[in-house]
Amino acid sequence: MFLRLGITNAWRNLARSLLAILSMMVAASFLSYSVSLEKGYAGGAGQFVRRMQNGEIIAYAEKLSLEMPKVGEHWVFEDEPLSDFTDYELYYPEYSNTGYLRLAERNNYFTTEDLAALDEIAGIEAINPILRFPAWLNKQMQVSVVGRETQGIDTKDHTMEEYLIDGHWFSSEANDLNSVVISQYIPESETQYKVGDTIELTVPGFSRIENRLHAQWFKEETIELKVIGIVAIPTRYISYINSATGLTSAEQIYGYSSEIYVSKTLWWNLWNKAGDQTPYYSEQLSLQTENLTYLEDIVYDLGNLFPHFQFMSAPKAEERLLSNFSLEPEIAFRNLPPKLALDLKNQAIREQQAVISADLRLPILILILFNAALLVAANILIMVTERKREMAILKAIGAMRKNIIAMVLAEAVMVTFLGGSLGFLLIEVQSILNQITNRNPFFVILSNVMRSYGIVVGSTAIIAIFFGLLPAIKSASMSVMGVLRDE
Amino acid sequence: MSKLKSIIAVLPFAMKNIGRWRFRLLTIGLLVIMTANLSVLYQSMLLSQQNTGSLQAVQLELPYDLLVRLPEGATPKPLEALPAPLDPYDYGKGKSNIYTVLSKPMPFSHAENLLIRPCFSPYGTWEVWGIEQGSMFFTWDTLTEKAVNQIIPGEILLPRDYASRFGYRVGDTLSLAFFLNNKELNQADFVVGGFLNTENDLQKPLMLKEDLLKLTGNSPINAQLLACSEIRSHTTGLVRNMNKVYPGAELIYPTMPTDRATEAIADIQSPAAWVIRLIYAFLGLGIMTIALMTFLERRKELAILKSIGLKFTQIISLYLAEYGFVYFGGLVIGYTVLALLLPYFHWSSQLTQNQLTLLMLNNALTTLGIFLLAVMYPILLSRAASVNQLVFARQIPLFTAKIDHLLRPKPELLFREREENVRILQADSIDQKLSGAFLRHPGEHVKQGEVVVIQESWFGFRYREWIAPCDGTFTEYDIYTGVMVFTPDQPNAPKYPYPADILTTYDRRQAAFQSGQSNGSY
Repeated sequence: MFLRLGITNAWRNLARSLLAILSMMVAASFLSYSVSLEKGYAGGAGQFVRRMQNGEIIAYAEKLSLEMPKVGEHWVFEDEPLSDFTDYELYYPEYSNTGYLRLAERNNYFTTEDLAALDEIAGIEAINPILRFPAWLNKQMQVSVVGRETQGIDTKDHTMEEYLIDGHWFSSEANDLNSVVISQYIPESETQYKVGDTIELTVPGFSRIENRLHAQWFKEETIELKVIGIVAIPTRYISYINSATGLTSAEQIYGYSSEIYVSKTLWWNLWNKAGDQTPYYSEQLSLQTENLTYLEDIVYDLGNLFPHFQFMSAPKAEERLLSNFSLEPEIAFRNLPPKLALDLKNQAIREQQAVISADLRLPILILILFNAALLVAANILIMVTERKREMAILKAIGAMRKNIIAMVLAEAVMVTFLGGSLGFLLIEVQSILNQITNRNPFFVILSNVMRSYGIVVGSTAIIAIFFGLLPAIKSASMSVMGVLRDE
Repeated sequence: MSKLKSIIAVLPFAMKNIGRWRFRLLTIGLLVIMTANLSVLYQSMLLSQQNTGSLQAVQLELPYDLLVRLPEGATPKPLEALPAPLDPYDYGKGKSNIYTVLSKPMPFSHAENLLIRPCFSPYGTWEVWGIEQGSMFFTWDTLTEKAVNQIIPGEILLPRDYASRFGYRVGDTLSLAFFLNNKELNQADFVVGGFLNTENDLQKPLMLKEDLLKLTGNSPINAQLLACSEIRSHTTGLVRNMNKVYPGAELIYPTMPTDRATEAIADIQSPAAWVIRLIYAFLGLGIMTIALMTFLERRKELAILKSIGLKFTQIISLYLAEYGFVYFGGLVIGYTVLALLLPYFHWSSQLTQNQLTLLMLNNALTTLGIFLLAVMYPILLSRAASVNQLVFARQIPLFTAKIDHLLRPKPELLFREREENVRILQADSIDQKLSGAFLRHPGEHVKQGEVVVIQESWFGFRYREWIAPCDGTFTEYDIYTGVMVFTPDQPNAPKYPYPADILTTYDRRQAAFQSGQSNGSY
């Protein structure tokens, strides 16, 4: 009965408990975020990067994002061009102009031990060493030659076949043929290649000196390759009001990629020929995950376990590409009204140096929970002070100390439960939608949600009970006569 | 003078209250002490991280004092047009805008233009620098009998470690290539003329500017090397001032890694601002809660004081004396504890006295601001509360109003007032519910100023009374709109002066509507 009375009281005074409910809601939202389910993405996030990279996470052997240096570590300034054996330049184009700070000790490539260790990480389904070397296309520009799987090997989410607009991908029979798939648009090239064209690829020699790969540009060999497919990489879709017609128009923007795709067999053939037995250790990997539900959690764990490597999720990489316009030179917006194209380009963000922000979720969470608990306690204390008379009467008609405590605590738990549930829902909706778009089975979603709900509401309730205990004991131990006389 | 006396008169009472509420005021004092310690200790840790982190960035050993990498389209300026770094004293005095002053009397003593281009080399992509023939910034060993520092056409100077890494020797020939604007690959051979001295950082292959221009198809000059002894001692205002002359340029100088590290650490630490904010939020909520509880418990005392004529200024003085005492007491004890604790934290030794003083001052002012905000609510309640509300523990709304006219006058209602000679009020009615109470009902006679309807809103913070606008009869209440109509006893009873243009516009539109209808054009 006293529990019911407490809940009724809480419900009756809901408006007055608003501040406590709101603060518990904020605490629960933050807690929901911290219990990790909520750092995933919708199923289609970062799609074009996932296909370009053949995975959900990009890993670089050389770490270019700064973290707080540990004792004994040193940062040095670097202004050498970024490695031609990675696509770092795409994501960090500003580094070529501004230089960057890096740790004095650096990794140049992933060893087989590194690959084995990465394979052990929960959530990683497959590891793909990226096969990439620089070459000259028709002796007109530098391109990247990337080795990819043949038709049907990569999944729908990871294959560039999905972006074919003409021709076909490498079939297993075509492995031995000298064929390439090329982007519809190539940076700084006015030539529009079509299926059946022949391109000249000048492959440099390769050597490994002091553990770094070098392209020996004047030990080159030129080969002729046949274009068998053209891919168009859709980067962004822009809707705008056409000032001429007054109607809404839309334009699909396509990326300008300097990647030339060849089959893995051909790639290795070219490497072995040009490299003169130089072993190829990847400087870049792509990691595949089952889906995007836990993507940022996995990236976060990887960052902690392998602090000397750099990891970036595909949606974050896509965000970088779309904000720095690396894949979209001015000409990519040629079909848009000039002013709109200019406005878009002006939005380009060139960051000075990428950093990994300090992870202070735990201290912030503790402070928020304390704050919320303090407010709940204060709220209960004020209510108890205001209802001294009611409690004194309850005691006078026989309510015991434990009954009063139970009543007050029920009120605290009610306030917490409401705030906690609201805060949880606020964050969890996105998580549920993410899980649905990632095609998780219903029962998996349900169990994930219930588990998170249990953690959030359980921990906030424990805190509320702990902090509500003091006002509860205070109200239970007051003297009936004293209160009735004073009030 | 009498005002001051009245304020001073409440001080002994405030002292008594401090004694009476000692335990809860002690709690506030403890909150202040904890906040002072937590906030200053945490911020000092962040500062020391910044200090040490910046020190962990290795400074550059450069043969020049400043390298300006120009943005695309910019051209190097003559020496006289360049600003000097500012005197730290002037900068500190806020004279940072004097960048327009020419570099004299702290001039850049020497400038050389430079061409920087990435070229294809036998070992990857190299950034090659095209320098002037008589460059004063570079020295190298030729291992030949040629005159030192006279680079000749067709010659390339390599950093010392290229000899060991790639096996080059003086006299070797190496090729470089560059894609020209017309997509043609331009290739040229150069002879290794010597090796640059080893003690400098960021060394690049050097050749004559003219040679590089030839290789890269006369691409524009895109960098400038500068000598300025001032930069070795300080770079105050340098980046800012150079950006005025060369917007978007990259500046490379010996202490640049330290400056960049400081920026990077500030970015890394950015989430820490939330921790600081939360610490202060914790303090603010704590003080507000305790002050509110104390207010609730001292309602009778305030009622007595108000009934014997206590003024609002005296109420403020009372609160400020009580809480001010705790604030200053807490702060003094807090900083004493801090002084005792600080030596036990290893980072304290890395802080300068100035940094620490600024942190403490910042904390003291922030805490004061929070204190004032937190006690504002009980002070406002004390002001708003009537003696009755205080004595009988009634709800105390912060905002009260007596309304005898339409708050949002609509033309239709004003039209009706004029045509029927009635007075109209409109209470808030949502979904046919008034959320208030009628003290007078339709059909009853009311006196001017008599309360007809009361309404509470904003969780009890706002209380409004609708009062009869005239002596007369409360004739009508519309549940859908909340409109109340009063027929005055005297036909000439005064009316509320609504803006005339509302009705004028309404009349004009009505007339237009009528004429449109009669013309059959509507």
